[in-house]
Amino acid sequence: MSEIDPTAFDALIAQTGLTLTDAQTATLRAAYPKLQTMIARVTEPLPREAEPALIFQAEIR
Amino acid sequence: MAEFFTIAEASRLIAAKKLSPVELATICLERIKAADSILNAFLMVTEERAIADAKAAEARIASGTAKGPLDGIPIAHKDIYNTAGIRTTAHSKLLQDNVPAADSTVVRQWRDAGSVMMGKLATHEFAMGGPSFDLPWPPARNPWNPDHFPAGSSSGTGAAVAAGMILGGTGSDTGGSIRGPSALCGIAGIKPTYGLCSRAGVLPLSFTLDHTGPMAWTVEDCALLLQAIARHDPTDPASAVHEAPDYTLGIDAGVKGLRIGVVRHFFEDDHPASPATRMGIDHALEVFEHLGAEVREVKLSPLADYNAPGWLILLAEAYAVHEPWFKTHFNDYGELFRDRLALGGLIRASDYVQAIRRRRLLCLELQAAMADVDILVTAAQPAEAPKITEVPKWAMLDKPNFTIPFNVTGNPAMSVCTGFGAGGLPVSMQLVARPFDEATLFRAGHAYEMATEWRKKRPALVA
Amino acid sequence: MDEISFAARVAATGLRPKPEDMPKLEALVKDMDRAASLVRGPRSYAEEPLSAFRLPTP
Repeated sequence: MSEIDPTAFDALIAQTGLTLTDAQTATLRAAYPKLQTMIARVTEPLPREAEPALIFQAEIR
Repeated sequence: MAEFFTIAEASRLIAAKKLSPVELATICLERIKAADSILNAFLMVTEERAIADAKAAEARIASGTAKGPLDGIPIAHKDIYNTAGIRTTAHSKLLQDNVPAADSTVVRQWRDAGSVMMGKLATHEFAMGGPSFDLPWPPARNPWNPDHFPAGSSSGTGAAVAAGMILGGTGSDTGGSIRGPSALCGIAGIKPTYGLCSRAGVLPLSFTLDHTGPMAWTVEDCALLLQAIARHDPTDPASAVHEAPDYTLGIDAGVKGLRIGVVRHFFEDDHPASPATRMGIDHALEVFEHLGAEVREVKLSPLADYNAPGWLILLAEAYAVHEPWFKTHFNDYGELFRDRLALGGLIRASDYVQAIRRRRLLCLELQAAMADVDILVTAAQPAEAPKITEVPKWAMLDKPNFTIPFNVTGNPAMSVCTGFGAGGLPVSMQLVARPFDEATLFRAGHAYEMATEWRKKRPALVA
Repeated sequence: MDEISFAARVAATGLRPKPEDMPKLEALVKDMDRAASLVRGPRSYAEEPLSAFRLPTP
Protein backbone atom coordinates (compact mmCIF):
# COMPACT_ATOMS: atom_id res chain seq x y z
CA MET A 1 0.00 0.00 0.00
CA SER A 2 1.44 3.34 -0.98
CA GLU A 3 1.84 5.89 1.78
CA ILE A 4 -0.93 8.43 2.09
CA ASP A 5 -0.16 11.93 0.94
CA PRO A 6 0.61 13.92 4.16
CA THR A 7 -1.85 16.68 3.25
CA ALA A 8 -4.62 14.14 2.67
CA PHE A 9 -3.84 12.48 6.03
CA ASP A 10 -3.91 15.88 7.75
CA ALA A 11 -7.29 16.52 6.12
CA LEU A 12 -8.66 13.21 7.46
CA ILE A 13 -7.38 14.05 10.95
CA ALA A 14 -8.78 17.59 10.77
CA GLN A 15 -12.19 16.29 9.75
CA THR A 16 -12.43 14.22 12.94
CA GLY A 17 -12.51 17.48 14.88
CA LEU A 18 -10.28 15.94 17.56
CA THR A 19 -7.55 17.97 19.23
CA LEU A 20 -4.52 15.72 19.11
CA THR A 21 -1.00 16.20 20.38
CA ASP A 22 1.84 15.80 17.89
CA ALA A 23 2.68 12.44 19.49
CA GLN A 24 -0.93 11.23 19.11
CA THR A 25 -0.99 12.32 15.47
CA ALA A 26 2.33 10.56 14.87
CA THR A 27 0.95 7.33 16.41
CA LEU A 28 -2.05 7.42 14.09
CA ARG A 29 0.09 8.32 11.07
CA ALA A 30 2.27 5.26 11.77
CA ALA A 31 -0.75 2.94 12.11
CA TYR A 32 -2.78 4.35 9.22
CA PRO A 33 -1.04 2.30 6.49
CA LYS A 34 -2.24 -0.89 8.25
CA LEU A 35 -5.79 0.47 8.09
CA GLN A 36 -5.28 1.39 4.43
CA THR A 37 -4.35 -2.23 3.71
CA MET A 38 -7.69 -3.30 5.16
CA ILE A 39 -9.54 -0.59 3.25
CA ALA A 40 -7.90 -1.79 0.02
CA ARG A 41 -9.22 -5.32 0.68
CA VAL A 42 -12.83 -4.12 0.92
CA THR A 43 -12.69 -1.59 -1.90
CA GLU A 44 -11.74 -4.00 -4.67
CA PRO A 45 -14.48 -3.77 -7.30
CA LEU A 46 -17.74 -5.52 -6.46
CA PRO A 47 -20.63 -6.29 -8.76
CA ARG A 48 -23.04 -3.36 -8.69
CA GLU A 49 -25.79 -5.58 -7.33
CA ALA A 50 -23.75 -6.61 -4.25
CA GLU A 51 -25.96 -5.34 -1.44
CA PRO A 52 -24.79 -4.43 2.07
CA ALA A 53 -25.24 -7.01 4.82
CA LEU A 54 -27.32 -4.55 6.83
CA ILE A 55 -30.95 -4.17 5.92
CA PHE A 56 -33.62 -1.60 6.54
CA GLN A 57 -37.09 -3.04 6.83
CA ALA A 58 -40.23 -0.99 7.20
CA GLU A 59 -42.19 -2.25 10.17
CA ILE A 60 -45.40 -4.12 9.45
CA ARG A 61 -48.16 -3.21 11.88
CA MET B 1 -8.19 -26.13 48.93
CA ALA B 2 -11.94 -26.62 48.50
CA GLU B 3 -13.36 -28.76 45.76
CA PHE B 4 -14.13 -27.30 42.30
CA PHE B 5 -17.61 -27.75 40.92
CA THR B 6 -18.99 -27.39 37.44
CA ILE B 7 -22.45 -25.88 37.14
CA ALA B 8 -23.90 -29.25 36.14
CA GLU B 9 -22.36 -30.97 39.19
CA ALA B 10 -23.26 -28.21 41.65
CA SER B 11 -26.79 -28.04 40.28
CA ARG B 12 -27.34 -31.78 40.83
CA LEU B 13 -25.89 -31.59 44.37
CA ILE B 14 -27.97 -28.53 45.24
CA ALA B 15 -31.14 -30.16 43.95
CA ALA B 16 -30.34 -33.25 46.01
CA LYS B 17 -29.73 -30.99 49.06
CA LYS B 18 -26.15 -32.29 49.29
CA LEU B 19 -24.63 -28.87 48.67
CA SER B 20 -25.93 -25.61 50.06
CA PRO B 21 -25.88 -22.51 47.83
CA VAL B 22 -24.55 -20.52 50.82
CA GLU B 23 -21.70 -23.02 51.25
CA LEU B 24 -20.93 -22.82 47.53
CA ALA B 25 -20.98 -19.01 47.49
CA THR B 26 -18.69 -19.00 50.52
CA ILE B 27 -16.18 -21.29 48.77
CA CYS B 28 -16.13 -18.87 45.81
CA LEU B 29 -15.80 -15.80 48.04
CA GLU B 30 -12.86 -17.41 49.84
CA ARG B 31 -11.17 -18.14 46.55
CA ILE B 32 -11.70 -14.53 45.48
CA LYS B 33 -10.14 -13.34 48.76
CA ALA B 34 -7.20 -15.70 48.32
CA ALA B 35 -6.34 -15.06 44.68
CA ASP B 36 -7.91 -11.89 43.34
CA SER B 37 -5.20 -9.59 44.66
CA ILE B 38 -3.00 -11.39 42.08
CA LEU B 39 -5.53 -11.89 39.28
CA ASN B 40 -7.52 -8.61 39.39
CA ALA B 41 -10.48 -10.44 37.85
CA PHE B 42 -13.06 -8.44 39.83
CA LEU B 43 -13.65 -4.70 39.69
CA MET B 44 -16.21 -5.11 42.48
CA VAL B 45 -17.14 -8.07 44.68
CA THR B 46 -20.78 -7.86 45.78
CA GLU B 47 -20.39 -10.08 48.85
CA GLU B 48 -23.56 -9.01 50.65
CA ARG B 49 -25.64 -9.46 47.51
CA ALA B 50 -24.05 -12.87 46.92
CA ILE B 51 -24.89 -14.12 50.40
CA ALA B 52 -28.44 -12.72 50.14
CA ASP B 53 -28.94 -14.39 46.72
CA ALA B 54 -27.52 -17.66 48.06
CA LYS B 55 -29.80 -17.59 51.11
CA ALA B 56 -32.81 -16.93 48.89
CA ALA B 57 -31.81 -19.88 46.68
CA GLU B 58 -31.39 -22.06 49.74
CA ALA B 59 -34.88 -21.13 50.93
CA ARG B 60 -36.35 -22.04 47.54
CA ILE B 61 -34.60 -25.40 47.51
CA ALA B 62 -35.81 -26.11 51.05
CA SER B 63 -39.40 -25.20 50.16
CA GLY B 64 -39.38 -27.18 46.90
CA THR B 65 -39.71 -24.10 44.71
CA ALA B 66 -36.28 -24.25 43.04
CA LYS B 67 -36.06 -22.35 39.76
CA GLY B 68 -33.96 -24.80 37.74
CA PRO B 69 -30.34 -25.66 37.02
CA LEU B 70 -28.95 -22.15 37.67
CA ASP B 71 -30.61 -21.80 41.08
CA GLY B 72 -27.88 -21.12 43.65
CA ILE B 73 -25.05 -21.02 41.08
CA PRO B 74 -22.38 -18.30 41.63
CA ILE B 75 -21.88 -16.12 38.58
CA ALA B 76 -20.58 -12.63 37.81
CA HIS B 77 -20.92 -10.10 35.02
CA LYS B 78 -18.45 -8.38 32.73
CA ASP B 79 -18.53 -4.73 33.72
CA ILE B 80 -20.22 -3.56 30.53
CA TYR B 81 -23.48 -5.26 31.56
CA ASN B 82 -25.78 -2.81 33.35
CA THR B 83 -26.62 -3.90 36.88
CA ALA B 84 -29.37 -2.04 38.75
CA GLY B 85 -27.95 -0.04 41.63
CA ILE B 86 -24.48 -1.53 41.12
CA ARG B 87 -21.68 0.45 39.48
CA THR B 88 -21.06 -0.40 35.81
CA THR B 89 -17.82 1.16 34.59
CA ALA B 90 -16.67 -0.48 31.34
CA HIS B 91 -13.31 -0.43 33.20
CA SER B 92 -13.06 3.24 32.28
CA LYS B 93 -12.44 6.49 34.14
CA LEU B 94 -15.28 7.96 32.08
CA LEU B 95 -17.87 5.74 33.77
CA GLN B 96 -16.26 5.19 37.16
CA ASP B 97 -19.32 6.61 38.94
CA ASN B 98 -21.96 5.21 36.60
CA VAL B 99 -24.74 3.41 38.48
CA PRO B 100 -27.47 2.12 36.15
CA ALA B 101 -31.09 2.17 37.21
CA ALA B 102 -31.98 -1.15 35.59
CA ASP B 103 -30.42 -4.53 34.86
CA SER B 104 -29.52 -5.44 31.30
CA THR B 105 -31.78 -8.15 29.90
CA VAL B 106 -29.21 -10.93 30.28
CA VAL B 107 -28.44 -9.93 33.89
CA ARG B 108 -32.15 -10.01 34.64
CA GLN B 109 -32.61 -13.40 32.94
CA TRP B 110 -29.82 -15.03 34.97
CA ARG B 111 -31.13 -13.38 38.15
CA ASP B 112 -34.63 -14.71 37.40
CA ALA B 113 -33.07 -18.16 36.95
CA GLY B 114 -31.88 -18.01 40.56
CA SER B 115 -28.15 -17.41 40.06
CA VAL B 116 -26.01 -15.86 42.80
CA MET B 117 -24.38 -12.57 41.74
CA MET B 118 -20.80 -12.37 43.00
CA GLY B 119 -19.77 -9.07 41.42
CA LYS B 120 -18.55 -7.19 38.36
CA LEU B 121 -15.63 -8.38 36.29
CA ALA B 122 -12.65 -6.70 34.65
CA THR B 123 -12.79 -6.01 30.94
CA HIS B 124 -10.68 -4.13 28.45
CA GLU B 125 -11.74 -0.49 28.50
CA PHE B 126 -15.09 -0.30 26.67
CA ALA B 127 -14.42 -3.88 25.53
CA MET B 128 -11.47 -2.94 23.34
CA GLY B 129 -8.67 -1.04 25.12
CA GLY B 130 -6.47 -3.55 26.87
CA PRO B 131 -4.45 -4.77 28.56
CA SER B 132 -4.10 -1.23 29.94
CA PHE B 133 -2.07 -0.06 32.90
CA ASP B 134 -3.31 3.56 32.87
CA LEU B 135 -6.93 2.96 33.97
CA PRO B 136 -8.47 3.31 37.46
CA TRP B 137 -8.19 -0.50 37.90
CA PRO B 138 -5.38 -2.86 36.86
CA PRO B 139 -5.93 -5.41 34.06
CA ALA B 140 -6.94 -8.99 34.87
CA ARG B 141 -4.19 -11.60 34.69
CA ASN B 142 -4.01 -15.19 33.53
CA PRO B 143 -4.52 -17.69 36.41
CA TRP B 144 -2.25 -20.26 34.72
CA ASN B 145 0.59 -17.74 35.02
CA PRO B 146 -0.17 -14.21 36.27
CA ASP B 147 2.70 -12.73 34.24
CA HIS B 148 0.67 -13.62 31.17
CA PHE B 149 -2.27 -12.12 29.32
CA PRO B 150 -5.74 -13.63 29.87
CA ALA B 151 -6.82 -12.15 26.50
CA GLY B 152 -9.82 -9.88 26.32
CA SER B 153 -11.97 -8.16 26.39
CA SER B 154 -13.88 -10.51 28.74
CA SER B 155 -10.62 -10.92 30.64
CA GLY B 156 -12.04 -10.92 34.17
CA THR B 157 -14.61 -13.58 33.27
CA GLY B 158 -11.93 -15.84 31.75
CA ALA B 159 -9.65 -15.48 34.77
CA ALA B 160 -12.41 -15.81 37.40
CA VAL B 161 -13.96 -18.93 35.83
CA ALA B 162 -10.59 -20.68 35.35
CA ALA B 163 -9.65 -19.89 38.96
CA GLY B 164 -12.97 -21.25 40.26
CA MET B 165 -14.02 -17.89 41.75
CA ILE B 166 -17.31 -18.22 39.88
CA LEU B 167 -18.86 -21.14 38.02
CA GLY B 168 -19.86 -19.06 35.01
CA GLY B 169 -20.02 -15.50 33.82
CA THR B 170 -21.04 -13.19 31.07
CA GLY B 171 -18.78 -12.15 28.23
CA SER B 172 -19.38 -10.11 25.15
CA ASP B 173 -17.83 -10.78 21.78
CA THR B 174 -17.38 -8.23 18.97
CA GLY B 175 -14.16 -9.59 17.44
CA GLY B 176 -13.44 -12.54 19.73
CA SER B 177 -13.85 -11.19 23.26
CA ILE B 178 -15.58 -14.32 24.59
CA ARG B 179 -13.58 -16.88 22.61
CA GLY B 180 -10.16 -15.24 23.10
CA PRO B 181 -10.13 -15.22 26.91
CA SER B 182 -11.87 -18.60 27.00
CA ALA B 183 -9.03 -19.98 24.85
CA LEU B 184 -6.14 -18.39 26.74
CA CYS B 185 -7.63 -19.15 30.17
CA GLY B 186 -8.41 -22.77 29.23
CA ILE B 187 -12.19 -22.68 29.67
CA ALA B 188 -15.21 -22.94 27.33
CA GLY B 189 -16.95 -19.88 25.91
CA ILE B 190 -19.61 -19.50 23.27
CA LYS B 191 -20.43 -16.58 21.04
CA PRO B 192 -24.00 -17.50 20.13
CA THR B 193 -25.65 -16.69 16.81
CA TYR B 194 -26.10 -12.94 16.26
CA GLY B 195 -29.56 -12.08 17.53
CA LEU B 196 -29.98 -15.12 19.81
CA CYS B 197 -29.17 -13.33 23.08
CA SER B 198 -30.15 -9.79 23.97
CA ARG B 199 -27.68 -6.91 23.83
CA ALA B 200 -30.11 -4.54 25.57
CA GLY B 201 -28.50 -2.80 28.53
CA VAL B 202 -24.98 -3.81 27.53
CA LEU B 203 -22.62 -0.96 26.59
CA PRO B 204 -22.20 -1.19 22.83
CA LEU B 205 -18.88 -1.45 21.05
CA SER B 206 -20.13 -2.15 17.52
CA PHE B 207 -23.88 -2.57 17.08
CA THR B 208 -23.82 -5.06 14.24
CA LEU B 209 -20.95 -7.21 15.54
CA ASP B 210 -21.67 -7.26 19.30
CA HIS B 211 -22.80 -10.55 20.80
CA THR B 212 -23.55 -11.43 24.42
CA GLY B 213 -22.86 -14.93 25.70
CA PRO B 214 -21.68 -17.19 28.51
CA MET B 215 -18.27 -18.48 29.60
CA ALA B 216 -17.79 -21.45 31.93
CA TRP B 217 -15.45 -24.31 32.79
CA THR B 218 -17.19 -26.82 30.51
CA VAL B 219 -19.20 -26.87 27.30
CA GLU B 220 -22.13 -28.40 29.18
CA ASP B 221 -22.10 -25.46 31.62
CA CYS B 222 -22.16 -23.03 28.69
CA ALA B 223 -25.26 -24.86 27.43
CA LEU B 224 -26.98 -24.47 30.82
CA LEU B 225 -26.12 -20.77 31.00
CA LEU B 226 -27.15 -20.09 27.40
CA GLN B 227 -30.50 -21.81 27.91
CA ALA B 228 -31.59 -19.03 30.28
CA ILE B 229 -30.76 -16.21 27.86
CA ALA B 230 -31.51 -17.63 24.40
CA ARG B 231 -34.79 -15.84 23.84
CA HIS B 232 -36.32 -12.98 21.94
CA ASP B 233 -36.08 -9.54 23.50
CA PRO B 234 -38.21 -6.83 21.89
CA THR B 235 -35.99 -4.15 23.44
CA ASP B 236 -33.02 -5.29 21.30
CA PRO B 237 -33.72 -4.32 17.68
CA ALA B 238 -31.49 -7.13 16.36
CA SER B 239 -33.05 -9.82 18.55
CA ALA B 240 -34.15 -12.84 16.52
CA VAL B 241 -37.58 -14.35 16.83
CA HIS B 242 -36.40 -17.87 17.39
CA GLU B 243 -37.39 -20.57 19.82
CA ALA B 244 -34.27 -22.19 21.25
CA PRO B 245 -34.29 -25.96 21.67
CA ASP B 246 -33.36 -27.67 24.95
CA TYR B 247 -29.56 -27.57 24.62
CA THR B 248 -28.92 -30.29 27.19
CA LEU B 249 -31.35 -32.76 25.64
CA GLY B 250 -29.03 -34.11 22.92
CA ILE B 251 -25.72 -33.01 24.38
CA ASP B 252 -24.71 -36.61 25.17
CA ALA B 253 -25.59 -37.88 21.68
CA GLY B 254 -21.94 -37.97 20.59
CA VAL B 255 -20.56 -37.07 17.17
CA LYS B 256 -21.21 -40.30 15.27
CA GLY B 257 -22.20 -39.34 11.75
CA LEU B 258 -21.38 -35.66 12.23
CA ARG B 259 -19.64 -34.04 9.25
CA ILE B 260 -16.76 -31.86 10.42
CA GLY B 261 -14.94 -29.42 8.14
CA VAL B 262 -11.48 -28.22 9.14
CA VAL B 263 -10.45 -24.76 7.93
CA ARG B 264 -6.76 -25.61 7.92
CA HIS B 265 -5.47 -22.72 5.81
CA PHE B 266 -6.58 -20.22 8.50
CA PHE B 267 -4.06 -21.57 11.04
CA GLU B 268 -1.44 -23.13 8.75
CA ASP B 269 -1.02 -20.50 6.01
CA ASP B 270 -2.98 -17.30 6.70
CA HIS B 271 -1.75 -16.93 10.30
CA PRO B 272 0.45 -19.89 11.24
CA ALA B 273 -0.40 -21.06 14.75
CA SER B 274 2.03 -22.53 17.29
CA PRO B 275 2.97 -26.23 17.11
CA ALA B 276 1.01 -26.89 20.35
CA THR B 277 -2.12 -25.21 18.94
CA ARG B 278 -1.88 -27.21 15.71
CA MET B 279 -1.16 -30.43 17.56
CA GLY B 280 -4.19 -29.78 19.79
CA ILE B 281 -6.45 -29.32 16.78
CA ASP B 282 -5.05 -32.38 15.00
CA HIS B 283 -5.55 -34.46 18.13
CA ALA B 284 -9.13 -33.18 18.48
CA LEU B 285 -9.86 -34.16 14.88
CA GLU B 286 -8.51 -37.67 15.63
CA VAL B 287 -10.79 -37.83 18.68
CA PHE B 288 -13.78 -36.79 16.57
CA GLU B 289 -12.94 -39.40 13.91
CA HIS B 290 -12.45 -42.05 16.55
CA LEU B 291 -15.90 -41.18 17.92
CA GLY B 292 -17.43 -41.68 14.48
CA ALA B 293 -17.40 -38.23 12.87
CA GLU B 294 -16.36 -37.68 9.28
CA VAL B 295 -13.61 -35.06 8.87
CA ARG B 296 -12.87 -33.20 5.65
CA GLU B 297 -11.06 -30.02 4.68
CA VAL B 298 -12.96 -26.81 3.90
CA LYS B 299 -11.52 -23.78 2.11
CA LEU B 300 -12.72 -20.25 2.66
CA SER B 301 -11.41 -16.86 1.56
CA PRO B 302 -8.15 -15.91 3.29
CA LEU B 303 -8.47 -14.94 6.95
CA ALA B 304 -7.41 -11.38 6.13
CA ASP B 305 -10.44 -11.04 3.79
CA TYR B 306 -12.72 -11.67 6.81
CA ASN B 307 -10.66 -9.47 9.14
CA ALA B 308 -10.67 -6.40 6.88
CA PRO B 309 -14.44 -5.79 6.83
CA GLY B 310 -14.68 -6.95 10.44
CA TRP B 311 -12.25 -4.39 11.80
CA LEU B 312 -13.43 -1.57 9.53
CA ILE B 313 -17.05 -2.09 10.61
CA LEU B 314 -16.01 -2.41 14.26
CA LEU B 315 -13.89 0.73 14.27
CA ALA B 316 -16.39 2.83 12.32
CA GLU B 317 -19.39 1.80 14.45
CA ALA B 318 -17.44 2.14 17.72
CA TYR B 319 -16.21 5.57 16.66
CA ALA B 320 -19.79 6.65 16.09
CA VAL B 321 -20.67 5.51 19.63
CA HIS B 322 -17.72 7.29 21.23
CA GLU B 323 -17.35 10.39 19.02
CA PRO B 324 -19.18 12.78 21.36
CA TRP B 325 -17.05 11.71 24.35
CA PHE B 326 -13.91 11.71 22.19
CA LYS B 327 -14.51 15.38 21.46
CA THR B 328 -14.88 16.34 25.11
CA HIS B 329 -12.93 13.71 27.11
CA PHE B 330 -10.28 12.37 24.68
CA ASN B 331 -7.52 12.26 27.28
CA ASP B 332 -9.69 10.60 29.93
CA TYR B 333 -9.59 7.35 27.93
CA GLY B 334 -6.68 4.99 28.38
CA GLU B 335 -4.01 5.17 25.71
CA LEU B 336 -4.81 1.83 24.08
CA PHE B 337 -8.53 2.42 23.58
CA ARG B 338 -8.01 6.05 22.58
CA ASP B 339 -5.39 5.35 19.94
CA ARG B 340 -7.04 2.24 18.55
CA LEU B 341 -10.43 3.86 18.24
CA ALA B 342 -9.15 7.16 16.85
CA LEU B 343 -8.38 5.21 13.67
CA GLY B 344 -12.13 4.74 13.32
CA GLY B 345 -12.49 8.46 12.74
CA LEU B 346 -10.34 8.13 9.62
CA ILE B 347 -12.62 5.61 7.90
CA ARG B 348 -14.70 7.22 5.18
CA ALA B 349 -18.41 6.51 4.82
CA SER B 350 -17.90 4.81 1.45
CA ASP B 351 -15.27 2.46 2.94
CA TYR B 352 -17.75 1.47 5.66
CA VAL B 353 -20.41 0.75 3.05
CA GLN B 354 -17.98 -1.32 0.97
CA ALA B 355 -17.13 -3.26 4.14
CA ILE B 356 -20.77 -4.15 4.78
CA ARG B 357 -21.18 -5.15 1.11
CA ARG B 358 -18.19 -7.50 1.53
CA ARG B 359 -19.82 -8.76 4.68
CA ARG B 360 -22.86 -10.07 2.82
CA LEU B 361 -20.64 -11.90 0.31
CA LEU B 362 -18.66 -13.51 3.14
CA CYS B 363 -21.90 -14.61 4.84
CA LEU B 364 -22.95 -16.26 1.58
CA GLU B 365 -19.53 -17.88 1.17
CA LEU B 366 -19.64 -19.43 4.64
CA GLN B 367 -23.24 -20.55 4.18
CA ALA B 368 -22.25 -22.35 0.95
CA ALA B 369 -19.14 -23.87 2.55
CA MET B 370 -21.28 -25.28 5.37
CA ALA B 371 -23.94 -26.74 3.08
CA ASP B 372 -22.58 -30.24 3.58
CA VAL B 373 -20.72 -30.01 6.87
CA ASP B 374 -22.30 -29.67 10.31
CA ILE B 375 -19.50 -27.87 12.08
CA LEU B 376 -16.18 -26.25 11.26
CA VAL B 377 -13.01 -26.60 13.29
CA THR B 378 -10.22 -24.03 13.25
CA ALA B 379 -7.93 -22.21 15.68
CA ALA B 380 -9.27 -19.78 18.30
CA GLN B 381 -5.93 -18.18 19.17
CA PRO B 382 -2.52 -18.47 17.49
CA ALA B 383 -0.69 -19.79 20.57
CA GLU B 384 -0.51 -19.82 24.35
CA ALA B 385 -0.97 -16.50 26.14
CA PRO B 386 1.89 -13.99 25.67
CA LYS B 387 3.27 -12.01 28.60
CA ILE B 388 0.82 -9.30 29.63
CA THR B 389 3.46 -6.62 29.02
CA GLU B 390 4.13 -7.83 25.48
CA VAL B 391 0.76 -7.29 23.78
CA PRO B 392 1.22 -4.89 20.85
CA LYS B 393 -1.03 -1.84 20.54
CA TRP B 394 -1.88 -2.71 16.95
CA ALA B 395 -2.15 -6.49 17.40
CA MET B 396 -5.53 -6.45 15.66
CA LEU B 397 -4.11 -4.79 12.57
CA ASP B 398 -0.77 -6.63 12.47
CA LYS B 399 -2.05 -10.18 12.02
CA PRO B 400 -5.54 -11.45 11.19
CA ASN B 401 -7.32 -13.04 14.16
CA PHE B 402 -9.26 -16.31 14.02
CA THR B 403 -12.40 -15.15 15.75
CA ILE B 404 -13.71 -12.05 13.97
CA PRO B 405 -14.75 -13.99 10.82
CA PHE B 406 -17.69 -15.36 12.80
CA ASN B 407 -18.68 -11.95 14.15
CA VAL B 408 -18.77 -10.87 10.52
CA THR B 409 -21.00 -13.80 9.53
CA GLY B 410 -22.89 -14.08 12.84
CA ASN B 411 -22.44 -17.87 13.08
CA PRO B 412 -22.25 -19.42 16.55
CA ALA B 413 -18.67 -20.22 17.55
CA MET B 414 -17.08 -21.67 20.66
CA SER B 415 -13.62 -22.07 22.17
CA VAL B 416 -12.74 -25.44 23.68
CA CYS B 417 -9.50 -26.21 25.54
CA THR B 418 -7.29 -28.77 23.74
CA GLY B 419 -4.44 -29.02 26.23
CA PHE B 420 -1.36 -27.07 27.22
CA GLY B 421 1.61 -25.66 25.36
CA ALA B 422 5.32 -25.66 26.12
CA GLY B 423 4.90 -22.81 28.61
CA GLY B 424 2.23 -24.68 30.58
CA LEU B 425 -0.57 -22.37 29.45
CA PRO B 426 -3.73 -23.58 27.68
CA VAL B 427 -4.22 -23.97 23.94
CA SER B 428 -7.58 -24.39 22.25
CA MET B 429 -9.67 -24.92 19.15
CA GLN B 430 -12.67 -23.06 17.77
CA LEU B 431 -15.85 -24.86 16.71
CA VAL B 432 -18.34 -23.11 14.41
CA ALA B 433 -21.91 -24.13 13.51
CA ARG B 434 -24.66 -22.93 11.20
CA PRO B 435 -26.78 -20.02 12.44
CA PHE B 436 -28.96 -21.00 15.42
CA ASP B 437 -27.44 -24.49 15.58
CA GLU B 438 -25.78 -24.06 18.98
CA ALA B 439 -27.07 -27.53 19.91
CA THR B 440 -24.67 -29.22 17.48
CA LEU B 441 -21.81 -27.08 18.75
CA PHE B 442 -22.52 -28.20 22.31
CA ARG B 443 -22.85 -31.82 21.22
CA ALA B 444 -19.42 -31.82 19.56
CA GLY B 445 -17.65 -29.81 22.26
CA HIS B 446 -19.10 -31.94 25.04
CA ALA B 447 -18.14 -35.19 23.26
CA TYR B 448 -14.56 -33.91 22.99
CA GLU B 449 -14.39 -32.86 26.65
CA MET B 450 -15.77 -36.22 27.77
CA ALA B 451 -13.17 -38.07 25.68
CA THR B 452 -10.20 -36.08 27.02
CA GLU B 453 -8.69 -35.25 30.39
CA TRP B 454 -8.23 -31.48 30.13
CA ARG B 455 -11.18 -30.56 32.37
CA LYS B 456 -9.49 -32.25 35.33
CA LYS B 457 -6.63 -29.76 35.63
CA ARG B 458 -7.00 -26.36 37.33
CA PRO B 459 -4.41 -23.56 37.60
CA ALA B 460 -1.75 -24.29 40.25
CA LEU B 461 -2.48 -20.87 41.80
CA VAL B 462 -5.83 -22.15 43.10
CA ALA B 463 -5.57 -25.96 42.82
CA MET C 1 -12.48 21.55 13.55
CA ASP C 2 -8.94 22.66 12.74
CA GLU C 3 -8.77 24.99 9.74
CA ILE C 4 -8.16 22.97 6.63
CA SER C 5 -8.59 24.06 3.07
CA PHE C 6 -11.50 22.76 1.07
CA ALA C 7 -9.04 21.71 -1.63
CA ALA C 8 -7.22 19.48 0.90
CA ARG C 9 -10.51 17.86 1.94
CA VAL C 10 -11.36 17.11 -1.67
CA ALA C 11 -7.86 15.73 -2.28
CA ALA C 12 -8.25 13.35 0.69
CA THR C 13 -11.22 11.72 -1.07
CA GLY C 14 -9.07 10.99 -4.12
CA LEU C 15 -11.45 12.99 -6.35
CA ARG C 16 -10.09 15.54 -8.83
CA PRO C 17 -12.88 17.96 -9.81
CA LYS C 18 -12.32 20.65 -12.42
CA PRO C 19 -11.08 23.93 -10.84
CA GLU C 20 -14.10 25.81 -12.21
CA ASP C 21 -16.44 23.40 -10.37
CA MET C 22 -14.80 23.91 -6.98
CA PRO C 23 -16.78 26.97 -5.74
CA LYS C 24 -20.10 25.25 -6.51
CA LEU C 25 -18.91 22.06 -4.82
CA GLU C 26 -17.68 23.96 -1.78
CA ALA C 27 -21.09 25.58 -1.33
CA LEU C 28 -22.80 22.20 -1.58
CA VAL C 29 -20.43 20.65 0.95
CA LYS C 30 -21.09 23.54 3.35
CA ASP C 31 -24.80 22.69 3.23
CA MET C 32 -23.98 19.04 3.79
CA ASP C 33 -21.75 19.88 6.76
CA ARG C 34 -24.61 21.88 8.26
CA ALA C 35 -26.95 18.91 7.80
CA ALA C 36 -24.37 16.52 9.28
CA SER C 37 -23.95 18.71 12.34
CA LEU C 38 -27.66 18.19 13.09
CA VAL C 39 -27.17 14.43 13.50
CA ARG C 40 -24.06 14.78 15.63
CA GLY C 41 -25.95 15.99 18.69
CA PRO C 42 -25.55 14.15 21.96
CA ARG C 43 -27.46 10.89 22.07
CA SER C 44 -27.60 7.86 24.33
CA TYR C 45 -25.12 5.14 23.43
CA ALA C 46 -28.08 2.77 23.62
CA GLU C 47 -29.68 4.40 20.58
CA GLU C 48 -29.35 1.72 17.89
CA PRO C 49 -29.06 2.27 14.13
CA LEU C 50 -32.15 1.58 12.04
CA SER C 51 -30.39 -0.85 9.70
CA ALA C 52 -30.01 -4.29 11.22
CA PHE C 53 -27.89 -7.34 10.54
CA ARG C 54 -30.20 -10.34 10.26
CA LEU C 55 -29.54 -14.03 9.81
CA PRO C 56 -32.10 -16.38 8.30
CA THR C 57 -33.68 -18.42 11.10
CA PRO C 58 -33.98 -22.15 10.38
